Amino acid sequence: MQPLLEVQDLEVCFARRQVLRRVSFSIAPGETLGIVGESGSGKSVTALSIMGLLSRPGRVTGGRVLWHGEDLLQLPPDSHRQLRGKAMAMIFQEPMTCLNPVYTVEKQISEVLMLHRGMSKKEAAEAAADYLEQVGIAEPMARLRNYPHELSGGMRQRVMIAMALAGEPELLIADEPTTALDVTVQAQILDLLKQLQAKTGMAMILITHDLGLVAENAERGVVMYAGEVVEEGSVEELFTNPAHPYTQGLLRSLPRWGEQQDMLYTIPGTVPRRLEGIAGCAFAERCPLAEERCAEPQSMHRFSATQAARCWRTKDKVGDAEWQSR
Amino acid sequence: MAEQVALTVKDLEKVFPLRRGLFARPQGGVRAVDKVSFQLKSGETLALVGESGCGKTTVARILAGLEQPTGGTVVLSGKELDFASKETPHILRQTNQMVFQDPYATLNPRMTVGQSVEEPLIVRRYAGDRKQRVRELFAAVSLGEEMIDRYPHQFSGGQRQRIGIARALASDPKILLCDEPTSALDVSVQGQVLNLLKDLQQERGISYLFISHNLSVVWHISQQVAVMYLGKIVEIGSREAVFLETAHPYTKALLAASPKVAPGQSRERIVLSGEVPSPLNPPSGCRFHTRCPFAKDICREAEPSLQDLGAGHHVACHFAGKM
Ligand SMILES: Nc1ncnc2c1ncn2[C@@H]1O[C@H](COP(=O)(O)OP(=O)(O)OP(=O)(O)O)[C@@H](O)[C@H]1O
Ligand code: SF4
Ligand SMILES: [Mg+2]
Repeated sequence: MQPLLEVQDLEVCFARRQVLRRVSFSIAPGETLGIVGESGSGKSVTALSIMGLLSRPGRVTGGRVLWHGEDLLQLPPDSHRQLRGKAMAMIFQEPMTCLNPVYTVEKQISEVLMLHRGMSKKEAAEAAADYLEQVGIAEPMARLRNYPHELSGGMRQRVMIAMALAGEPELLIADEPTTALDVTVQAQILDLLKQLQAKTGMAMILITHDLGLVAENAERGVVMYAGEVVEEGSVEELFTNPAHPYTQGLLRSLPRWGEQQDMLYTIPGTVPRRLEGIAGCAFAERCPLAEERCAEPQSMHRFSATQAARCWRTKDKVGDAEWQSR
Repeated sequence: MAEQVALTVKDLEKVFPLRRGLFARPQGGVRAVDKVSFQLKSGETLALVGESGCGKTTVARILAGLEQPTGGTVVLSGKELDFASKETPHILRQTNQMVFQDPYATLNPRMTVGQSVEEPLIVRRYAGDRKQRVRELFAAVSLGEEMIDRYPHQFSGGQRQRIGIARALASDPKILLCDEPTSALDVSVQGQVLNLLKDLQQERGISYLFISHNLSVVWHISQQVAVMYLGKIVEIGSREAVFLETAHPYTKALLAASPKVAPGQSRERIVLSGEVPSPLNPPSGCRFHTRCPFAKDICREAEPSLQDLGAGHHVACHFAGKM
């Protein structure tokens, strides 16, 4: 089956600073893919590049973003814009980044419906109430007349989701959609997204720094480090049998309730500030397994249909027969 | 001898007056902290958990001398504090120090971090060699001496949190009030700060009041846990009691909602409906009844009091142990 979206060797620079390199992954229709990584690892820049929302001085300097096999990066900006909202939609950590404070909820949802679904004003107003109901907002008719500031954080998040869904996208990119919310509200929103996904069959990219959210809500995950994808795999593979030393370190450094841990494992050092000048593995200066060869460029070593890691040492872990270089 | 108690808080209360308009007289108020009681033992950690606006930070701010309570008593090292006295905030600041979520906000960008750490020493007229003491404090939080003359923007988030802790330690506190100290940090850095806090506690016998919404972190760092909802403690006890013999439906929901890194493991999922009610107008009876999946009529009518389930485990629920 052709993937819905395939990102190949994406590279992004901000002015002269390279912030993404060799970013590749794909997502199938209806699938949920988690992207995890620490702050600054390039998760949001990846999402914005797919959406065609990268703003200056940010610029894609290499790679391809294939949507149903067609490279979005070659499209004129206008055509890319037309896909946005309709084919793919994005929701953010802070709902006010896409809600307009001076318009009512009704106007904002109706606009999407009129623009992308060709509805009349009257049809759109009715459908807008439907969408609010679908995202679990009580008294939708009353809420339609509200302005964003009159709503709680959790409700604004729901309105933003309703707006994203109104275009009936095939792909929803959720960038830290629940980070600013309380945990019980976070659970409500994620449950809602899963239900809506089951109903509409849309695919979802869930971007988060919370490994637990990926473990619980995605089928596959991509781990980013310093602007690169260092590992991908099914959530079972990633969380029970991680291959990259960085993924292994991250998992070991997590406190887990119910377990006895006296001191936590810590990854020594800090994330490199720039990629320039690092030809080899970006994790090498913090890696307990680093050897001379790690200073050479690392390719993804694949050892199952779903799992691959950007580290030559993972070969030792699984044995020659099972891995092949991509 | 019985374990030493560092701090006893009884029926602590804070009502913020509400004014509609600048010159209007206060009309009622927000009961941000409502009859909160707990005991913090020397050298131990008590965690306060709960969602935003439940009053955790207000409790810490009262204990740091930054806020006046409107009721209740606080006993610090065996002495009851008189909140009418001008001396009290001063006494509180001497023994209790806060560590904040965002250390950047508390460090002066125009001062070197060494000067920021030295400042509390000047304030309390430290008699010894101040420069020497600053070097010791930097060593205590595992920062090299060469860092002392740098400015806050030259540090990573985790390093700034270490500086925040060094500054808090400069006053030789008996109690650290840690308000979400690792929430702004990445996982790999969070571990470093948690280990540091554990080390300091073992070396110096400091007690921590530790505020966090991350239950895995709370489990890792604390011996006692208190769960707050809309200003009240709904469950309190040893971490094992609260996490493993959970008695309050709200605690159960919090545990169910906190993501775990164990894929494929099915677990009890309690997803609450509804939003967190406003503390301005808390629900009648049990404050949790509007979101509680087990609520019955009595929950809407009568407020449950804290019941003793034994071994210091207390819970405020009409159906505790009967669900
Ligand atoms: N507008 C911008 N101008 C310059 N650099 C930028 C800009 N936006 C992002 N960057 C840089 O790109 C890199 C990747 O950032 P990105 O926002 O994608 O990280 P992230 O993984 O989303 O982090 P977080 O978890 O903090 O959201 C970082 O080094 C960041 O400093
Ligand atoms: S390539 Fe080398 S340095 Fe990088 S993760 Fe693998 S072993 Fe470590
Ligand atoms: Mg981001």
